[in-house]
Amino acid sequence: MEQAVALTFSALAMSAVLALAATGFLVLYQASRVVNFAHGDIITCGGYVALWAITTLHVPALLGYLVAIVALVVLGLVLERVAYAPLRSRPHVVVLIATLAAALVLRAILSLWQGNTPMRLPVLIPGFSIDVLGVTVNGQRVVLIGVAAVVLAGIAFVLHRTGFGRRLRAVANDPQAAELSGINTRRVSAIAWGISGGLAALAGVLLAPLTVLSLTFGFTVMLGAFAAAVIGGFGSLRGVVIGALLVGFLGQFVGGYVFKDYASTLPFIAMLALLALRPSGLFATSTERL
Amino acid sequence: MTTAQTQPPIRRVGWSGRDGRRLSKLATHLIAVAVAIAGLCLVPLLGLSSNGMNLVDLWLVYSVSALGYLWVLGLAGRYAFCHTFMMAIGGYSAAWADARGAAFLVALGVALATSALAAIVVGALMWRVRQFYFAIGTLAVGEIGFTVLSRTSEFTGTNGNVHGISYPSLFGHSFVGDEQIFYLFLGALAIMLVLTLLLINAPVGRDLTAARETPEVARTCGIPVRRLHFTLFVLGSAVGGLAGALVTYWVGFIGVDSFGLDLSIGLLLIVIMGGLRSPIGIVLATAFYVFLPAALSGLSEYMPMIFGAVLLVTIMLFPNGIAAGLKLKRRSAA
Amino acid sequence: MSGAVLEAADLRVSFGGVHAVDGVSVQLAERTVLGLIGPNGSGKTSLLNAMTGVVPTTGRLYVGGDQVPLNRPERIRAAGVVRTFQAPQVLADLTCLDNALLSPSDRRGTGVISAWLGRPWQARHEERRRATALDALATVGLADHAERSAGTLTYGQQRLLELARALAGEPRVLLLDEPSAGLNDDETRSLTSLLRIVQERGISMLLVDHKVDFIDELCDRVLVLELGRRVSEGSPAEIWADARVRDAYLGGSAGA
Repeated sequence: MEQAVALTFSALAMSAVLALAATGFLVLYQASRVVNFAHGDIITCGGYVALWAITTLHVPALLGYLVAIVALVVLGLVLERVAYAPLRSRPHVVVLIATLAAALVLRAILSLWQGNTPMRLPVLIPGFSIDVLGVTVNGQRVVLIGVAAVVLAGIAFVLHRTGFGRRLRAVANDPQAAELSGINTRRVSAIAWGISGGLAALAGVLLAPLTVLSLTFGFTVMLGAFAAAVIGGFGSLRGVVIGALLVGFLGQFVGGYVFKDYASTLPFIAMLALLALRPSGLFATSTERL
Repeated sequence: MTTAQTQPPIRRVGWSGRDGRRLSKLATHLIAVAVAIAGLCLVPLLGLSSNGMNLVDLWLVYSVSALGYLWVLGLAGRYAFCHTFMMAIGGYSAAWADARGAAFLVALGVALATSALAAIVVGALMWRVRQFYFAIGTLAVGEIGFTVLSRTSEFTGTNGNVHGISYPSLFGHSFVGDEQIFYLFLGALAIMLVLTLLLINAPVGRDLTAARETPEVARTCGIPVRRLHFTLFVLGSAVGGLAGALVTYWVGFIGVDSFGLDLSIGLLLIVIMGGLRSPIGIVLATAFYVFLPAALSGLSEYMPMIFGAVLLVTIMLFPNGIAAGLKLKRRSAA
Repeated sequence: MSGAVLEAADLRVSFGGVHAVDGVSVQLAERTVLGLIGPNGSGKTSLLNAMTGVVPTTGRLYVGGDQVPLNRPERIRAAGVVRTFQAPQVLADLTCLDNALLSPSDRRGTGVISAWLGRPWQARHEERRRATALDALATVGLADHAERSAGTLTYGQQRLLELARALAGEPRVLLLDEPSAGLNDDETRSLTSLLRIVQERGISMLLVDHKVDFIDELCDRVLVLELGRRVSEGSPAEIWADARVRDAYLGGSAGA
């Protein structure tokens, strides 16, 4: 019973992170049709920037987190200028490789800046923990779940109730038609890259204190987010959230009770099984030619 | 079924012999390869430093792996990101066979078989899967694979490390030392170059081009697109396994990081820089990948960044070259 | 079955609620040319895509009286059904001859194993295929371009190359999707004579097009599609005489 409670919170926390990361990924993909392989390293970056702000600038954790988020929104915009805009009209895979190259460069810069030893990012509220049914749950998990829920609700609001959201959905649906009806697709894309960076940073700073901050930290999260997005069909926020929940719970519960050693592989096995049976994901709405 | 019977005499455009121009093009390339290999045979006599010889051997064996990857990424056009995992499977299988007293060639055969089998399973699972999902799927396979490998100590030794692998030996002769291994690797590379040229200059070569660039149209022409993609993925991965086994025997050791992420990205870099089509491009690009860090030894810390930057610059300067290589239509606005 | 060389029964194609092809049946009699006309969006190309397995379809397909599985382009091709596309699908990377060799009726010796272990056998079959392909190139007038890259061809020549590829495939049935689109009057006339030659060889054709004269000259019968449904069929004269067809079709953007 106690294990079930602990696992539930772990699963929700994992799902929250994956949902944030996958949403950042999805927003970017919808706005610019780009699969951003650098997304994972942006997440890692978020963790490191926060760590730097907290340890070098000696700011409190919350401020450190915010610095990271702002920095990575900027990074997202920079990447848009540098890696994406010059290659706008090129085939998809060229941009894909460009993002891969950007990932490589990012990781190398981080390695030079902070070294290779894994580090620890401080939690948001030190010593915070809550008691659920007799089980002590790390407060950071609660914060993570709470923040993710609020942010995702906010994203849903933006997507469906604001002008930007409408424009984003129009571009996602048919970029050419959107351009022709007067939408500034370049601006939508740039903003999306910024949002993506911010969401990546958020995922990074919230998760890092629960695990170890290393150079491959974000890459692992990104893979899980991929699995969540694929399982959810890569089309909608709802699909992504459901995919993230599935992956989070699958990993924690099935991994918690059986196959302990291989827990981390379970989401990927699920994804592969899904690809074998339904190559377009559970909720795919359109037949995408990627 | 009708064929033309009453047409005016066809002007045969400049070919002679049975396959005509096709044969002469293949023959030319094969002769060029033979000459190059013969020339390379002299390299150990150049008196290179031990580090130099080591790098040359690395260049040869990585070229073998890269050619296998060319079959998958360049010829079949499938974005597979599990090639290093296949190399690891080959390496561990060979080590496993060696630990049980198998001869070198038998161990190589085991490596080929296990990596081919792994690729068959992966390829079958993703038989119908489109490009992007195939990329993610193979990425996941790599992740799962390496996790499993590092845990199955029965097969892969404690913590995934296997030591004390025997020297490779053929027909009673052991290849000890970098100079001798050189000839073994050179032979493997020669075989790979010939196989690649035979593929490209054959009907399957043009079928692969169609299957890669316009798969739906190719299917209506009767080209077995999915079967070709699957076959080349399996063959290319098996070659990766073979290369992994060769490296394992050469180094005498294998660990989970022997074929890590850096090599993964490196192989991608090599195939893209090599132009995605030509075997000679691959060999040259591998030389770049292997020898550049040595040449810039003061900057070894910055190597990943330099490679990333080179990849980025290559893409930016030659996007149409890459695109011509990958033969994709231009994206529409946004 | 009626002895039709190609028969499609009750084909349905839907994209997210839209019925591009809504229960269409087609019979193509041996050695005839059937025209397929209709306004834009009437489902002509979708019908062709359905018949060649390019889009998910329900219904039944028979070639020469034998049922062929839908949604399997390779099987449909193996039954002798060959098509061309609205936008010519030629590979600039390959020579014209190689392009023409992409859709042969005899695929022996085209695999990986033949490339490595069976080259003499491969060469024998390839020789015959090359002869057929060169004949096809000569028929369409591209013999001189055989060893040149297909990227050097003009738009009209690319269309001809696609046709050569189809002919080199020794088809029973040829499906043509707007072959005259983008051609000027001279080129259209050449194409008409060319297709007459094809017809004389006994190849049955299904011809989708807009140009009225083109349809008139070549087609024995014409089928009219509207909104994914078959609304009329008859000889060209009967079709043009039908007031509804005239209004819907000729009144707007008839011909090119």
